[in-house]
Amino acid sequence: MKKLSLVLMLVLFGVGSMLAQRTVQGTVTDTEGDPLIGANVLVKGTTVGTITDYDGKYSLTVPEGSNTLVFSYTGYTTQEVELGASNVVDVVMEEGITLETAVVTALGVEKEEKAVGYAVQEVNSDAITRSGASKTLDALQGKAAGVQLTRASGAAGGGTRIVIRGQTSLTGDNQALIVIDGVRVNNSTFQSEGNHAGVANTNRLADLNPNDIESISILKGAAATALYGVDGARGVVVITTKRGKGTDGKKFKVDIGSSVAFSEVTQITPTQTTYAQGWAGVYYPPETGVSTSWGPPVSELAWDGATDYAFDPNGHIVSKDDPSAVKPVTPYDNIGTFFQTGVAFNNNVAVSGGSDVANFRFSYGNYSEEGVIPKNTFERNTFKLASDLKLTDRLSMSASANFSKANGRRIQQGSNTSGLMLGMLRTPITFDNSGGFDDPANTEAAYRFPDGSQRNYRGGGGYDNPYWIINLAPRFDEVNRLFGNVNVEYKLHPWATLSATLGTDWFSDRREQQFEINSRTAPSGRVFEDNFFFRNTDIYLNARGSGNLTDDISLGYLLGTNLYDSHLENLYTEGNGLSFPNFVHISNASDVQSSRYINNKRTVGFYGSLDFGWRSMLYLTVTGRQDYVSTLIVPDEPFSLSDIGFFYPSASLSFVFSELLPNDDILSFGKLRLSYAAVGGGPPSAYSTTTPFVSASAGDGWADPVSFPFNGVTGFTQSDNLGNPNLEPELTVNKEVGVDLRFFKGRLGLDFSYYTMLSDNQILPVDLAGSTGYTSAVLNAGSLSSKGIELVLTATPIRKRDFGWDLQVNYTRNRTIVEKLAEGLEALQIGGFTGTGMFHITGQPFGVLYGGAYLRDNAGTDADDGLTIPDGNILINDDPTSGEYGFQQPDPTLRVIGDPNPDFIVGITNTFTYKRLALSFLIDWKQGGDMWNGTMWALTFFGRAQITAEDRDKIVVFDGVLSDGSPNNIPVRVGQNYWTSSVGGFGSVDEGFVQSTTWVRLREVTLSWDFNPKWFSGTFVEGGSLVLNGRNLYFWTPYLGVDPETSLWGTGNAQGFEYFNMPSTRSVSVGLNLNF
Amino acid sequence: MMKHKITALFLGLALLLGFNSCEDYFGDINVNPNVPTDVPPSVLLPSIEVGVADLTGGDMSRFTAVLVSHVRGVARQWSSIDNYSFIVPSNFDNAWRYNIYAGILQDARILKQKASEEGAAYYVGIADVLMAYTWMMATDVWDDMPFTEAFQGTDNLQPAFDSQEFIYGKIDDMLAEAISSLSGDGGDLLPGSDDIIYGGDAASWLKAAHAVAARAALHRALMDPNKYYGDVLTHVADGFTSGADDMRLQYTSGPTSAAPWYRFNRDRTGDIQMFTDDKPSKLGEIMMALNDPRLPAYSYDFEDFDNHPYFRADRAYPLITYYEQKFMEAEALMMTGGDAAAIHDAFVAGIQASFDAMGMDATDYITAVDPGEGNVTMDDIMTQKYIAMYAEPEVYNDWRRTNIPQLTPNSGSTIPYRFPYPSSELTLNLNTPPVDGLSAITDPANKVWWDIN
Repeated sequence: MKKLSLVLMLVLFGVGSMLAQRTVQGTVTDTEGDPLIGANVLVKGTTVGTITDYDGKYSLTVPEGSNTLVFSYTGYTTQEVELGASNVVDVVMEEGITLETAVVTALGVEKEEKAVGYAVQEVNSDAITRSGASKTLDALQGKAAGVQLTRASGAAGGGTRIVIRGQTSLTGDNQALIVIDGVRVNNSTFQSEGNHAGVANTNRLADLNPNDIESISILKGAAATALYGVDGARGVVVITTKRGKGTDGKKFKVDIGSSVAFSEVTQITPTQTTYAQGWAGVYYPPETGVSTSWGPPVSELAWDGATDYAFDPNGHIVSKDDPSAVKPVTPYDNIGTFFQTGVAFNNNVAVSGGSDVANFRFSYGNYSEEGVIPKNTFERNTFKLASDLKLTDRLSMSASANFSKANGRRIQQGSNTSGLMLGMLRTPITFDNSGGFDDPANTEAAYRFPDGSQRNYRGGGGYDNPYWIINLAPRFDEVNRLFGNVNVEYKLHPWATLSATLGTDWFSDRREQQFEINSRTAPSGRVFEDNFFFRNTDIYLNARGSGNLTDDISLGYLLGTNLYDSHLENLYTEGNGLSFPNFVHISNASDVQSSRYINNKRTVGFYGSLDFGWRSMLYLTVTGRQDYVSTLIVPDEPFSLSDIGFFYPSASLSFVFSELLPNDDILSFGKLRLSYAAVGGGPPSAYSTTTPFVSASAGDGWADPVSFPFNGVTGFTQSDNLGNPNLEPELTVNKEVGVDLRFFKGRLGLDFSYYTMLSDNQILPVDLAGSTGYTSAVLNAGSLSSKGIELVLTATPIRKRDFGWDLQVNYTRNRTIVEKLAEGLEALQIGGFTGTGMFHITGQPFGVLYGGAYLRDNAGTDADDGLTIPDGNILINDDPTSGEYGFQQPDPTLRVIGDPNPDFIVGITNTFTYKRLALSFLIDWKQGGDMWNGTMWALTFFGRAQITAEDRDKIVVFDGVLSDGSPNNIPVRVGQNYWTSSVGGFGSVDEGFVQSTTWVRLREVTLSWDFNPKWFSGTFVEGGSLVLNGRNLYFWTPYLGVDPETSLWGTGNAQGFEYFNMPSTRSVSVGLNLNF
Repeated sequence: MMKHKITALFLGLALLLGFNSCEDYFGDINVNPNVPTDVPPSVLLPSIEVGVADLTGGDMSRFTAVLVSHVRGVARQWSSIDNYSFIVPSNFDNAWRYNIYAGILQDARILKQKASEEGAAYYVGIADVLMAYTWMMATDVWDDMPFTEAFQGTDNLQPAFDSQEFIYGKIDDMLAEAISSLSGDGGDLLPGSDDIIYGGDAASWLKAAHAVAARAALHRALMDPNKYYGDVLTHVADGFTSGADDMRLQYTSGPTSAAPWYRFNRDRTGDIQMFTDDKPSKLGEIMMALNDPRLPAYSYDFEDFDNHPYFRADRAYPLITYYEQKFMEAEALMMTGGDAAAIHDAFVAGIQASFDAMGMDATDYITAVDPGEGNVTMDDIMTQKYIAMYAEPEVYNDWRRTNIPQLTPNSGSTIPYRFPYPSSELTLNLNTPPVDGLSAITDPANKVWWDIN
């Protein structure tokens, strides 16, 4: 760290020293004489620049020794103007395509767009900051083809998953690699509990303030990412952060921004408001502990007005005809009254300045959110300092440091007796979770009796009262993080620029979970402290050069080495059995156990790339990388580098065929892309090559296990997972073809990509029969294939002085198929509950839903493949002695019952500008993708789902046939007997609860207004803007539950499973930005 | 100059980081720092012992207790287990896969091997007793199991199944070896407080080895009564001499070291009861008829798990006991035409030992149920054994051997004769016999080898 601060000092001192200079001004117009607003004016070869104002005017201080200005504007041809004697330079720009536009490719190398033989898509800073999203990944929603983002929940601080071009690994990480300013940063979402319970954890890219982002480049295919090595196979998000720029004669430039957002919950699983707590039509009060709402209609019930009844201030519930009845029962709304309006404040300030010799940018951001769930908070403070220093003409340095501190107070969720929605939705309408208090979230008597026992609808058993959860089962966390990099670059020769980059990322994530005595998850009380510490080092040494060999042939090369080292440490301490209440602390626990886990990995890579260009028409890039990975090492055995190393190549071709065509006004540009790339990979986890001993535990699935130390005695057992010293590297092969067409001088653009991917020899844990002495082994087994289409359509239907309309459509279609699992292994569960969940099944899409189906009349016949649901008629139970007479029946064979992967995703952004106003809206359409509605499944059993009220007295004849093949003619009542049967809630048929998550949503609406700078003349303010923003304002979906964008498995591989998920939110915000 | 220095620096860095002794650079980085690659016998033994007690008192106890109508499943999954419909393969993965093969037996094999290498005879003997005990408990409910081809990891993903007769032969070998190991000198490496069951006392283990051997002989009694009942009597003579010798594992009241039934009642509150109005258990009916003073302790509300007098958190879980041995002795004497006084003594001593274990006075009860010397019947012995061994898995073996007491199925016409194979073995090991559901486990053809009743 000493080094870093030294660099920063240098930079700061350098800022003051300005050289001799002149001021140039002028106007930029289009061919019709209309001024161009916001055109970019840059002093060539420097970072000094400005943009034109509303009248197309600019004024720029040009440093001594510089004599060329570069004018650029989206949709217009870039111009370079040599400065003469005059200090006035007016420019007329022509519509056209800027073929020299640079895109950021692997390792931060900027390449001309036309020379790139694979798909790259860029998202700029405006699109991110104006999205109104507080976290970077959320801001990317709908803005790039091939990218699928899933927000785990609307809880404050919840994580978001990013997958580019489908999955490449059966069981490993499938999320894109995140690279900030050339070095990789951690975007993990650490879990403290099982994935299906616990709290919504944050993915760590959230530690980056979106306001610090200059641009994001999305590298999709392996040809684009091959130089990043193993982790690049999943796609790479290359983030470039903002830096200081020449500030036009002023010493400093200040930007401040402030916004406030209000949010509310979106839809929640529909529940009935007709029937009371009870069973078989009889009311059972809370103290009986009865879990269900199969009681009588509330219209038949009354309160007796007793004032001494602890469970209800309105008294006991009696029949309305009972003599003690005083007032008819009205249903309580335990759901609508629980949530609040979430409020989030976002404040940012950035100071930047400098000259062409040195510059800096410092920013501070504070984001503070109180969620829609009371007492659910998330706060983030970020500090970022970036600077560049040109020591000599040849030697330059740059550095950036980002410090962040994030704090959360989170709420238990999911499949968990302390899960918020679980207790809330199961609560009968005859029980008031709030206890009649106006502010139950802050009134202990609402959820806790004076003796410390819990006030809930099951007399203290069952599930936690939501108000108990938010007060007495909180999770606190704090992340302190520093990431940044130092880069030194030396121009040795026109053909040799040497650079060294050192990046590092350090953070600690400290968590404490409390469960007060009488919490249902831990009736005797529990507290755990879960501490993560992460550190990585990412070093690159590169030599590169480029130039023209002849007028027709250009050549470029890159040679380098990369060293990546990561260290993750986890220290978990759990205390159980609190001695006394109101002090949930490890020192109050009667039984304390601790565990520590360290994961070290190291990779060394050598890589090279060669670029050939011919006549601005043909570009060929070939790359190769040799990696050595620590995870292939077998400890205690001598090894040579060749045992842990592997090589993989890539080649990509760009053919600008429009160069061959006569110039016309229709097709302005056309490019064909072809690429092939292979990427190798080692075992995704460290220590897979050995079978160690582990601290023992004993038990079965029914109850919490016994663990060691047992009564002070230590116990170890050989690991059930057999290590494998003979692992070989994985290999992913990617082929891509694409075409980039621009029409009408770029007013219309179409970019199409088709790709295939085959990932073979995957290293994964494979289940073994117990009789082998192990339960799983790490094997080279399994392969995955993907193919997909991406389409990006851009259009500027209208471009007038005062009015413009831009349109961008991103279309994504991906199919990933599990080609092979291990020998003899047909299915591999990756998430869900025992028997129902997400499985990899040979020949099926990635992670399909697998579970119980209705029995069909042709099950087990030749028409039945034993895997998918056969297309026969549903067989109705026609055994009159059965309690399920007239119902469907469960098929004893589990089946593929759904595919959580979407058919396609479309993002449509329309932007309208009128004078200084801009209105843009993003429509996000996801077609297909199934989800198991476990919430509804469970709530039907409890008689709480809306459907159980609609059908409670209805007599129906289910579709199906009887055992003799004749159509079903048995009338049955769809009431308690049905929904608590083996085909109802908690039954073994899941098929009926699989629903489509297709949605169309208004993801983003932004109205921004740039202030007229004339207002501020004479003040120190230069300009500003007002931004109104709405996120997720409306969506339409057939899914009968919470917003299906939520995911119980958070950012993990298993998607399509909903079980008392936290709902999503919609929000509106207003923000003011000013710059000085 | 500057230029050259910088060039040299880059080259130097490149050499340092890249090309020079890369192997050294990787060093120990893939050595797992979190877990040991080798451990001493003293930390393997506790995990095996707790594993055996948790298996016996967990799945084995609960499923068999429902089958012999000691208890009734009354809620959630257990109401379907109660009517046998949910006695399905997926319920046995835990026991078979994690607890038995990859757990107890794998670790006991390793323990035995390490102990043999170090000449630690008592560890070897204890490992043999625990392996024999576990194999027997497993084969008694699963019949044929992989034995000779088991424990080979990825070298044999589909081990063949060996017959129960073969496995019993191996159990005899293990117990004979255990008796020999425990009878001699223990060597330098001796078990101590790591032996949670007997605190390292080889003499107690020797008695336990004989008790287990008696049980192994008793199970096969139907095959050759004279031989096996004779073996029972031989072994009980060297077995336990009082309840103080019982093979028990002491649990404690800590949340993660509490006894299995307590943990079940705590975490699955209300799933099982001994007796309800809707679902009376045979054990409850018999005890009520006998006015058995142990009944209140047995049938105490399982939902009030913290106060349950029998299924306590800090229970000393019985693996094999003096009272069981006395009932074995009584049965063996009876079936081999033994002395009436000896039969009566063993019968009464069994009841007495059961009461002693609960700290209760047996005098009045014995007076009430004792038919007197010469009048003790198999029915008396097996009924009192059925009562004494509350929720112990051995009861299911006794009932299958003797049909005492007469049980009425909770549902259908047949009480399952055995457990189905676990779903993991059925799907991953294609040698697994297709005993996979209710119809298979109620098919007499699938009875275990010794069950020729």
